[in-house]
Amino acid sequence: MGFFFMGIKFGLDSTKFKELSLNAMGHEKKVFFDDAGLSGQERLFFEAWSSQALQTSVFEPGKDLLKSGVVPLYAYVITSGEAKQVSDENSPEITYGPGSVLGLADGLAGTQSPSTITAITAVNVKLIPIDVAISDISSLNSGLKGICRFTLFRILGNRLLNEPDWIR
Amino acid sequence: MKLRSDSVSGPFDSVLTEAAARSDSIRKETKSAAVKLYDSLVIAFGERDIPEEYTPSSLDSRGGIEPERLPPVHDRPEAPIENASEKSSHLSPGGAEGVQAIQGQTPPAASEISQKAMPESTPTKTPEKNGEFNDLTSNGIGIRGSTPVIQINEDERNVGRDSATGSRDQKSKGVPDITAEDKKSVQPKSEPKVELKTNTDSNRSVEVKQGSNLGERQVSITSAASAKTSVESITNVESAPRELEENEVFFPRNSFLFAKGDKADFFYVIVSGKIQLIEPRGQTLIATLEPPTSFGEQAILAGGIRSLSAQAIEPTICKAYSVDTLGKLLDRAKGTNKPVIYALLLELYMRNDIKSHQVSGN
Repeated sequence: MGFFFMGIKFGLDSTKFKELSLNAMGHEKKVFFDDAGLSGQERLFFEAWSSQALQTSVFEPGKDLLKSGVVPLYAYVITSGEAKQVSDENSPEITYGPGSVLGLADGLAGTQSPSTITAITAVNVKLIPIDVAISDISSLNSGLKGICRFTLFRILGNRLLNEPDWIR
Repeated sequence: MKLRSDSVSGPFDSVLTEAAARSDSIRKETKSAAVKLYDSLVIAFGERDIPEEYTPSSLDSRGGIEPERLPPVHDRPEAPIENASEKSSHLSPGGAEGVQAIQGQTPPAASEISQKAMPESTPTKTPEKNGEFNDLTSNGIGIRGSTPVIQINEDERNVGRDSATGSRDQKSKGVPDITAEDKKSVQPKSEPKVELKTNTDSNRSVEVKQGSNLGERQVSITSAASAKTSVESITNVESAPRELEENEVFFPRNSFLFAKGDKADFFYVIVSGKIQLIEPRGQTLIATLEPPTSFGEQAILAGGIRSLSAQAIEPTICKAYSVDTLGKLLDRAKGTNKPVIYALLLELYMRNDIKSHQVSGN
């Protein structure tokens, strides 16, 4: 008999962002940042969500965003909707809502996704093509590249067996 | 023989009376001078190091002082106060290796300086160098009664110095001092660059000032979670195991770098030691970080808030980068870099949040 885990749900409140146009820049954006009382996560989410460099996409309910054992080619930042990590008896069921980032660390490190994640509602995402991300990161200065590297280590832990070339 | 004005009589009364009065006057002046000199000696060397025969009462009973028996001291009674602070700053824990270099002795611990080492001090005079005297006590502490000075600002350091040349002015000549050559060995090889000050109002922020010149490189940290850990309880407990380089900060064992909810002002890269990231809700250990790991990425966004608490579980040295530094780096990032970095950090948040829920069972 396996362990019983309570379901876990991760999601950020994106309703605050509705006060601001996605195209807001400069002073308007700064005022929003200063006045909205956003947490660190919400600020990061807002920056990724409002980025003009990323395209958007939609997953219909039942579609897989990530498949277990496959190295992701795209990473996703969920802007609305919910996706569920298929659980087994040894792992909890995890529901990912707005603000969830799926497959980025695995994609950048070239490691296989440990689990399958399936949309349970219509899921709007920001798309991050892994090959473009690796190419761009490779041109970063050493300081920011170092931040990416350390962050990757912390996300993947023991799953990061080999350091990818772009990290060096 | 002593003459007293109230004990003379006879034909030479007037002469003797005048001589006795003159003698009394001289004695009073001498005593006054002795008291002033004694006070100066106490300031310079401490009361316990002044021989009994030079106390005002003793001097009075003997009718004066015997200059040739005075402890070696330079001919300027006002100056030692200034030099006491300057010298103590050089000989405080931050410059301990310099003490060792000069004296060939193991530098005393910071806590021992005022209590243990000082009473054993015997003023000694070393040869004059470059027109300045280099006086140190036998244990290299310098002036008794001067407790270790943690911070000496440049204004204080330059008291008595010529503003243009940096040399001692006329008033300060002959004062016990450390020559430039000695200063090289007494002061840290590289000036400490980072000074941490606590924001006691909010108990949650750490201020780093670069280019500060500290006598010792102690770091004082407060945070919301460690509000009870006062600055004083951390200061002087541990000192950095080595000289700190630019942007490096030392955190004593068990000190909190920041707490969940704190404003994120700095991003850290561990150089040595260990840091634990803790989710205060349920006291969940999220990660134990070792070199060369980084943490505190929340600082990448101005106004970011810490999502976890960070505690040094060993004496730890980190490189600290400010929000401004990170912001400038990020502004230069092109293409998808900016949103990718944000998304990567967000994924880390998400994993940490999920992990804390898994561990705490909530």
